[in-house]
Amino acid sequence: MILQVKDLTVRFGGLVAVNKLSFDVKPSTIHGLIGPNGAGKTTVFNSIFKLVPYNGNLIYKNIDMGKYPTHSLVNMGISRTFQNLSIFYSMTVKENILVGLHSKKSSNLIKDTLGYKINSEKELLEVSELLNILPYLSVYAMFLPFGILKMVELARALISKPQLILLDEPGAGLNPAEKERLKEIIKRIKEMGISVLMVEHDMGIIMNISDEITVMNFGEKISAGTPEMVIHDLKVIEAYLGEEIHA
Amino acid sequence: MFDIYLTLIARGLSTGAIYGLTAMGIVLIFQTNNILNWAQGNAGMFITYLAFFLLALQLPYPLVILLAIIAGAIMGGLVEKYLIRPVREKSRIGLLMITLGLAMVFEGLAAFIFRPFPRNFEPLLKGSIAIGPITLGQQDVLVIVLSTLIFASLFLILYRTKIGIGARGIAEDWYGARVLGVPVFTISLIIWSISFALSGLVGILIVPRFALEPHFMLPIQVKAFSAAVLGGMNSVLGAAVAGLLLGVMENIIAFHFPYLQESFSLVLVVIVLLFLPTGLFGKKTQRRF
Ligand SMILES: Nc1ncnc2c1ncn2[C@@H]1O[C@H](COP(=O)(O)OP(=O)(O)O)[C@@H](O)[C@H]1O
Ligand SMILES: [Mg+2]
Repeated sequence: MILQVKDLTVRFGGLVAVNKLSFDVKPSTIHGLIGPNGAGKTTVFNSIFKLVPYNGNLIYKNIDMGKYPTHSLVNMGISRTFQNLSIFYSMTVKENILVGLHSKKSSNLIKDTLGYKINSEKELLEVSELLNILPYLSVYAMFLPFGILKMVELARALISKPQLILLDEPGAGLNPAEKERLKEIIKRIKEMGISVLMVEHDMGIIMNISDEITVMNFGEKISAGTPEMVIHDLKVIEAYLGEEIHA
Repeated sequence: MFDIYLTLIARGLSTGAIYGLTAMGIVLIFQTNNILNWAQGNAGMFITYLAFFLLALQLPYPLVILLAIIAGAIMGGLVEKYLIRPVREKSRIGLLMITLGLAMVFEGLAAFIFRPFPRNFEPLLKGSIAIGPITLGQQDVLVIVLSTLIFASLFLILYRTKIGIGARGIAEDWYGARVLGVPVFTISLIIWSISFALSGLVGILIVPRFALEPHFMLPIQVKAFSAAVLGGMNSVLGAAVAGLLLGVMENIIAFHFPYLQESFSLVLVVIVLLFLPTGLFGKKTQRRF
């Protein structure tokens, strides 16, 4: 298993946002995490990144991540994107992406201090090509449309060559054409051997590309299995009643 | 008549450079830690006292300046590590109290340890020089040259080095940068060190105009804060330009209306903010989590 979530519980004051949640992410698979709004999906991601205090165990490749601080996770091979775009607007696209390499040390201290550029040109071009953002590398982020910034954020999470990537609603706000491209990109990411844990509202995306799905409601796991199993599960249908079917 | 204005402007640039340097320190800390550092001025005051006694030991002046900068860097680092870091992600209001309290502690300690009476502090350079119609103190020229160099270095650090780009990342999105592997606390410590080092340098350069006493940096703090706000609180460039503008305008005002010198900066801030709520160089900020 690349990631094991065991009895994860997160409380915010009296609210139990995640309740004894357990599931596993298998290596080189796409694992969907879905559930109605407020189910606790983002909180699972935030726990993995130590942005909220939690109980339970989060085990990455047999290592309990409990004592590793947020900024060390990239070096362990985990990266993520945010539900609400996290972009450095006053930087160029290139600078934005290179921040994703911050924790990668070069062998030479002076080179290392003097910037990312020296060693990272090749990785930068590779990832920019994958995400179709090559033409924008020198453009300041504040001038770019949302759809492209989503790709920049993804590039930033990919350039560190993670083994596990957490995507929080990567399709939100994208138009249909962009969503089609996103599907292809996520499949490519999987082909690169990267495991994907993905929260996504768009059922078209999640049912199409997920290998396995975990469904949450009110912080608890209510269903799990392949897309076909999950979509026919009465508990899932019930949880989504009143909402249009989306994660 | 015109010549007088040239001299007023030149001297204003020197004063403005001091405001600018202090404002840069305030902006750096505000951007990376999201707090106002009320202690920026008084940290410099405290270091200037140390410099005073080092000079009394007959150490060479340039060496004392260097030692003061180093002392500032160490002090800034200690403040970040032991006062700011434990509270940084826990209490915003606590942070505000910490820097305000620190400013008072520096002042109290200075009065307690060094006694509060005013002392004369000699400048490094005493003469004056004439450039065309302009007469300017050599120390003023030194201030302008040094602050230009410092500004250029800060700019290079922020835009060309890994630490600088990391710091800019932190400024826009602390948690986003953390998640990407930026060691936010280490960079924050470096920023505090740079800011306090600047503060020490400013103290030594400017104190000869006043006298050394526990609150001689107060006007500098107030005006640097005004400059930082005028500059939009978000860029060292804005802080530098606003500092220079403020220095020049204030010097001209003071020539005609000496009593208005001290209140001018705050009045200007209020007027500018009425029309440009984000300052002269500010931009609207984005928010996410
Ligand atoms: N930092 C926080 N402080 C307090 N409550 C929070 C915090 N983060 C999330 N919550 C609450 O926890 C619940 C789950 O939120 P979230 O994980 O964002 O849901 P989802 O991503 O599934 O829509 C919600 O009720 C939300 O209001
Ligand atoms: Mg969410």
